Amino acid sequence: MNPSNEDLDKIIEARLGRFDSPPPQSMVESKERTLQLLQSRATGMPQPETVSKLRLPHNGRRWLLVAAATLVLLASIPLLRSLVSPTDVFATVETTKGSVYGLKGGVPRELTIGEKVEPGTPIRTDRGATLKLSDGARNQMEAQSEVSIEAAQDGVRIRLNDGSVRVTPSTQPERNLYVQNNAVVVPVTGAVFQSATPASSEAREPVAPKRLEFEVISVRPSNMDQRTRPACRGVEGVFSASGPTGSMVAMNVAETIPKGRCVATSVSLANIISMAYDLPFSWRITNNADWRQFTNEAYQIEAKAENAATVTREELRQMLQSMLADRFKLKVHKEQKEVQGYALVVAKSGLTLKEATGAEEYLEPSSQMSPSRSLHGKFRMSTLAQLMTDYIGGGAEVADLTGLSGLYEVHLVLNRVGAAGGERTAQGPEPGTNLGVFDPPFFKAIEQQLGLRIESRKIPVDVVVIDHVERPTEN
Amino acid sequence: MSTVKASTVIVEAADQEFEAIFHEHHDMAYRTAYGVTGSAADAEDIVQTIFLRLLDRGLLPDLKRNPGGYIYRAAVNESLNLVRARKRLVLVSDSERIAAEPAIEPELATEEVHKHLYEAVAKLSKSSANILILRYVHKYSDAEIAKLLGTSRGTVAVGLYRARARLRKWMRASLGGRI
Repeated sequence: MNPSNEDLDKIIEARLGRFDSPPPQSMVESKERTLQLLQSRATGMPQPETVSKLRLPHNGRRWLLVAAATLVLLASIPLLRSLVSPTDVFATVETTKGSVYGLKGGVPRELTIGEKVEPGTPIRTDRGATLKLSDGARNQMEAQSEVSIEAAQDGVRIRLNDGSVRVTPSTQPERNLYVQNNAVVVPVTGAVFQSATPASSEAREPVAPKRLEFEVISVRPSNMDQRTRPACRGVEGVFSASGPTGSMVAMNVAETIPKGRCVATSVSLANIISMAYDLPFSWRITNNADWRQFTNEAYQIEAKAENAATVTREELRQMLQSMLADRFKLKVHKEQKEVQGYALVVAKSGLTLKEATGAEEYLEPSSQMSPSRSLHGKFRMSTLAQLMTDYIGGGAEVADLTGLSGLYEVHLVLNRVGAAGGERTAQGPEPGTNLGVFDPPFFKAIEQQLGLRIESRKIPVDVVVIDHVERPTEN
Repeated sequence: MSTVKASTVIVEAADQEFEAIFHEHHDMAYRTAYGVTGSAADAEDIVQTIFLRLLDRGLLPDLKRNPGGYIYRAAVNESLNLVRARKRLVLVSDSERIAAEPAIEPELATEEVHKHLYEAVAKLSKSSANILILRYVHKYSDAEIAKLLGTSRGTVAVGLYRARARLRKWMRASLGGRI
């Protein structure tokens, strides 16, 4: 039946009339968070009484003035540049006056000159050191200082946890650079910037790892039959327990996650652990303790970070780890193990991909309605390997062994000729079984179109071994 | 640092004006973004983007002349861009979605009508969308819309008529006989 104009008008009027109004409370909370963000961007804006809990510490105002001056002098900074992939962000130790430590899982390890430090890793000095950032900027750390290098929404952030730093931006910066202490975030451009956290007269331990925790946590048993995936929203966006670099979540789920929160309606313990420890598959969790009792149980979780507007994905993962330790009494250790999987390598015929610039992104949609599957985007090989892991399915992991660190433009079109099934070959699962059967076959298409090869072989992976776990304590 | 003192006065004067604009227009921008995107998280992102941009660019003459209209237009544009981008964002990596074959619904779901409507609104010209959202999200009268957008009531009435006609056409094309 074809509707008349009148029928259509009624439907449109009715639907337009139902354009939603936001819940008042969510609007108030959002306003508060936005205000906090604006303040943290160092506007010098007076703080209203209604957000007194967001007031800066005593010396915060001085910080705002310094930041405001920076803003006025450098008002032409493009604030919203392209998103930065966390894989672009790292620091290397350039010089040291004494010892410099990296804290991994709260355990200090002495770093050597030239060593690359991953984003989110706290770096601590005893007498001072200079770090070179991935874009050429230099971060001179004074004695007894602690920083971590992080991906910000539109650049790179040096988070100053303690002490003071002098930052010299790159002469040709590729993105924005910020310094953040416990009061403000300040953009750094064009000049040496000096920053310090509030001085403390107390003597400090040489290395004092900081434990990140959520401000509010609710964990309850869930009676829902259907399991859902947990999802968190950090400054980089929404991420979950699987997907490329854990960043992609179904849109209908992603929309519901406010900034700085982790939410799950009915999630298994294995899924929470996978997310907290960034494991793409739950088989990466092994157990010494008897935790089989948890396999049929699910939990409803809602957790909120205090610094909701600025918290990063890595920080949220650490908060989830703290939550598991506190509420589930979870104790784990990590081991490395060799498993049967796939390696993504450059084909003998040579790579056919062109190098790209900018950030990782999908360039075109892939239609789920079409018998063909396609992938168009700019990816690093590590992300492509994770996409291949999803494509192949069956729990087999694809490790990036290409040795390529650049960003590449990928155009892959797969001609699907059969439904997702599960034939097995001598190599392992039928390639592409998660998506269907293809002509030419999945592996062949990768080689022909991308100049890459997926080989079946043993690959090293990290596994998390559970030493102890209990049912969660009451809220 | 002498620059701190010299610039403080300028910054604080601008701050007061910026703060006033923020408090006066935040809710309207948020409601607009929420109305178009249907998502609290997106609405917050959009509002933050708008005000951060203002912070970055300073108080432009256009903004000072009519802050409500300026921020409202920015909220509509950002929201429509987001809705348009959603159509481009396909989660090819999400195995849960990939694994699921598309189901053919015997009857058109409410959500689907709503989704098509959002997409149809996103296809409207900026001026048409501005008028439509003020009417249906903010429940403004023609006169109020005209005042906010700095135009005449006649232009608003014609704009609304045309916007509805376009929506009819696109809804008919996308939903056909399924409604």
